[in-house]
Formats: sequence, structure tokens, C-alpha cells
Amino acid sequence: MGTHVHTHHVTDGFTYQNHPDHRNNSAGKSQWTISEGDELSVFDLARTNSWLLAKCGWGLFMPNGTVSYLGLDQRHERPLFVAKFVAANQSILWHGYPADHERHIQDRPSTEILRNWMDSELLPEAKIRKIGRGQPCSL
Amino acid sequence: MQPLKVVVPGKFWDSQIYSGRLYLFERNGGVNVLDWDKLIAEWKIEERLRLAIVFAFRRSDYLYGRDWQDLLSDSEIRELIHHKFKALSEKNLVADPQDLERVQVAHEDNPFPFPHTDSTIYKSNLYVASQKGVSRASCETDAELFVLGEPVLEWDAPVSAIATSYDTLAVAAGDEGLFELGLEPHSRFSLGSHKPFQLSKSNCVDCNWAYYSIYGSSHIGPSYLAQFTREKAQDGGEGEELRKFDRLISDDHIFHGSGYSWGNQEKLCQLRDGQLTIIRYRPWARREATQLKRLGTLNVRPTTATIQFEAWKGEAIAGRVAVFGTVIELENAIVVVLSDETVVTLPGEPINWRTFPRSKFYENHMHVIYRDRLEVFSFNQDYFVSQSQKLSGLYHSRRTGKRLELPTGMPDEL
Repeated sequence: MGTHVHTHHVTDGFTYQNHPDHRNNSAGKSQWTISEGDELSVFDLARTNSWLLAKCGWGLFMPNGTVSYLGLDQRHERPLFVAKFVAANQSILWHGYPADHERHIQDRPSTEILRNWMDSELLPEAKIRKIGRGQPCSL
Repeated sequence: MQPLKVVVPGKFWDSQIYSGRLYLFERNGGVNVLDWDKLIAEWKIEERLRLAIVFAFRRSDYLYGRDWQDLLSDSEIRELIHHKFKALSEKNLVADPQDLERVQVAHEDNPFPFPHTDSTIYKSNLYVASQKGVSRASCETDAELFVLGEPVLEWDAPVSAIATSYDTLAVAAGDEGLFELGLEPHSRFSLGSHKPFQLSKSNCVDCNWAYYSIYGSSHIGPSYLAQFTREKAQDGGEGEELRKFDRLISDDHIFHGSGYSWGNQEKLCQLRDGQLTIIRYRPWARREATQLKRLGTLNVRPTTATIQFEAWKGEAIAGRVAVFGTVIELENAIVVVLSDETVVTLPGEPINWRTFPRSKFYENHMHVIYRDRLEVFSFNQDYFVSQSQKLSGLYHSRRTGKRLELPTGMPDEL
């Protein structure tokens, strides 16, 4: 079955692609549970809050001002609420996926991002600790 | 017996206590160092409770001592000590900000990556783990002017948790696995000397020492015991020994089933289907030929305790074993299964918590950090519990006044 990569021009210097593997129930791939439009808004929120670093970035889905779940883990069972964005093409072309901080240590946001989220009171300190340590963490 | 509690107001991320000093990692990026022993010694309290507050918060070793154990065998003296602890538990022990300022040793900018994932103090060095790796800084306690040393990066990959013993740093590195790193250049106890040595490639989110072995915990895959033997060094002199890696033993073998598990010294614990199972680990028994053949019961004897947990408290987040009992962090509570098998539940989701089983004077402490305070709990029931029969908590040898260590030639039964 054919799959389509949807490419969005976000702003000058930023292009975002919705990657189909994270929406088509691919085995071993975490899955978005939010719409493609919401996925794009999570990316744009990360961009405007400077949560995008040189080659990767981190995002949160906050539809009503509070952090909400945005996807499922690679077994399509456990809800996830952190997005990881990865840059290609000299930080111009980005794509993302629901990040699993329990399973993959590289899916844990950097120390600076965690501190930003904690200082901004986007997530309670206890959640920040659990994400950083790779412990189970529910909203 | 009710636990005792001292409250230290403030916004903290983590705490350590070592050689009389309380290290408070503040959420605003500072490190506050307090003279804890002075704070307790000068606490404004009735004289009749002075002894109890010292036992509880400054010198946990007193009542484990042989002389005190003789005294505690007298029922009237036991009753008196009980009464003092009970009276102290009825006090609202909140540290006064002026007192905290008076006992302040230093207040510095936090030189480590923040927020960190774990910390520990070992041989006057403070080790801090984070997404950036593991950094070490000296924290000599007898210097007139206290200054945290410039941190040195010991490890440059993301780390979940660390634990120190045998001049070796155990490193839980998530899906990179479990490692150990020698802290001394030529230590016989570390594999790979001062270079990282990978003990397992399996997911590891937490780690702790089980004598000279290391227990790695995982929520994603099986937890495991990285088992070592302790052997005489071939080129060593009298009494010189080294650690030798033996094998990995999965929690499925140890507990005959899967679930989040953890361990420390002779106690291995697993939470499964709402039940806590406690295993007694006896590495010295492995040297007996007959036991080498029995993997399931070789060093790990499936004994005893199962304790039911209530569903509302949620799934296991983390666990520890201390002298006073077994601590389980669940999603919505901390549960302490005390050594007398009573259960203390602390509802809520803490920012952080830790115990200090390696400590000499504070092994009855449990520190729990909430949004606006540190709560220093002191558990004191263990002085009155039979150490050879207790299931929950680490064995404490009253004969020596120290926890059971290095049991070469130790008989099978404790």
C-alpha cells in the first residue's frame, strides 16, 4: 500500500514532514494519536519556544494549555506525551515521532529542555524526574 | 512504631547526607550545604526527648551497638525508649529558617548539569548523573572553607542512575544497558580499570549493589543480577582479592516470573501483580559444589514474604531496600514495608526520594522531596527486630555494629 509523506512549509528555514510510518500502525514504530495538523502545531510550538536544538528537538501537545497524550509506544499500547523531532538537511527539513522515554534513552529530552519545561511549569517536577530517569510516567 | 519526621522547608530537587552535612540541590540552581548534625544537636526540644532525637536523626548506629542491644533486652528499657520515640513522633518538627541559616555551611551555584537524574556521595566525592553523563566533584567535609570542587566528567553518555561500591561506579544507561566504571586507576575490584565495562546490553533504568554483584532494574525488559564472585588475586599478597564477573541471572530465574524488581545486598525484591516478593541472596553459598548445580536456588532462595498492595497506588516506579525495610515508589504513593512488617504509606507523587543504606549514622533515614519541602523520615522499629529473622530490610549485624559485609567463608544460614 502506498504511503504519502506530507510536507509543510512552516516558516522560512523550517519545513516539516508527517512521516507515514508513525501513522500507519507499522510494527515497531510509535504512533501519533493526534491529527497531522496537531502534529504540525506541536512542531511549531517547539520551534517558537526554542525547544529545537541543532539536530533534534522536543515538543509537547497542549490543546487546552495543559500537556496531553499525543501517541502510543512502538507496541501501540502505552500512551506517550513527548514528541521528538529530528532534523535533516542542515536543520531545515524536520520530521517527528512520539518519544518513548522509558524504552529509549535517546528519546529523553536534553537537560536544558527538561529544565525549561520545569521552570515554565509545563510539567510537574515529579514528571520531569521520571522522564529523566526513564521511569513510568503518566499524566 | 510511628516514623519520625523533620521537615525542611524549601524548593528542592535532590538531597544527600554525608559526614554530618545535608546537601540540598535547590530547584533554582543552587546547592545549599547544612551542618545537619548541628541542626539536630541544637534543636529546641525538651531535655527528656534529646536522646530520642539524636538516635533518630543523627546517630542511627547507637542503638545497633552491642552494648545498647544488651540494654534493649531489658523490657523496661525497651519500653522507655519506645515511649521517647512515641513522644517525639507527636512533635511537629519543622526546621526554623533562622536555624537553617545559622547551620549553613555553604551556598553555591550548582556546578553540575541540572536537573540531574541521580546523585551519590562516595569517599568524599559527589557524583551526579544526568543526560550529559556522570560528573564528579570533591566535597571534603573537614575543609575550613567548604567549596565543591570543579566537576570532572567521568562518563559522557546519558545515564539514568548510579551506585557506588568497591571503588566502582555502577551505571544504569537505559537501553545502552548496565555498565561499571572503576573509580581508582588500579583497583582490583573494578573490571576494565578506569574504562567503562559493559555488563549487559539489556535495558537498565536503575542499579544497586548486592554485595560485590550489581542488580540492574528495568521496566521495559527483564531485570537482572550481574553476578560476580570474589576471589583471591593470583598475583596478590595475603588477603588480596578481586571481583570476577560470573554471569547474568534474569529476574525470571530469581523470582520465577516477571515484574519490576530491584535489590541491595542480601535482599532482592520484585513487585508483580500487586505482590512484593522478597528473596534472600547469599553469594558465598555459590562456592559450594552442590549449590552450583541448582540455579534457581543457588544464591537466590525464594523465601517468604508476599504483601498485597492496593490498586489505587498504581504500578511500580522504583524500589530500594534499606535497613529499616523495603521502599516501593508507586505511581501515587510511596509504600514502606518496615522490618516489623507493618506498612507505612505516604500518599502523593514525590519530586524525589532516597535512602542511605551505606551510611553509618543515617541508615534509618528516608528523604522525600515534595514541592515545598524536604521530609526527613526516621524509622526506628528495626532496633527491636530480630535481624536473623526479618524479611523486609537489610540484615544488620549487632555483633559488629555494621551491616553484613564480605562473607567469605560465611555459613549458609545467617
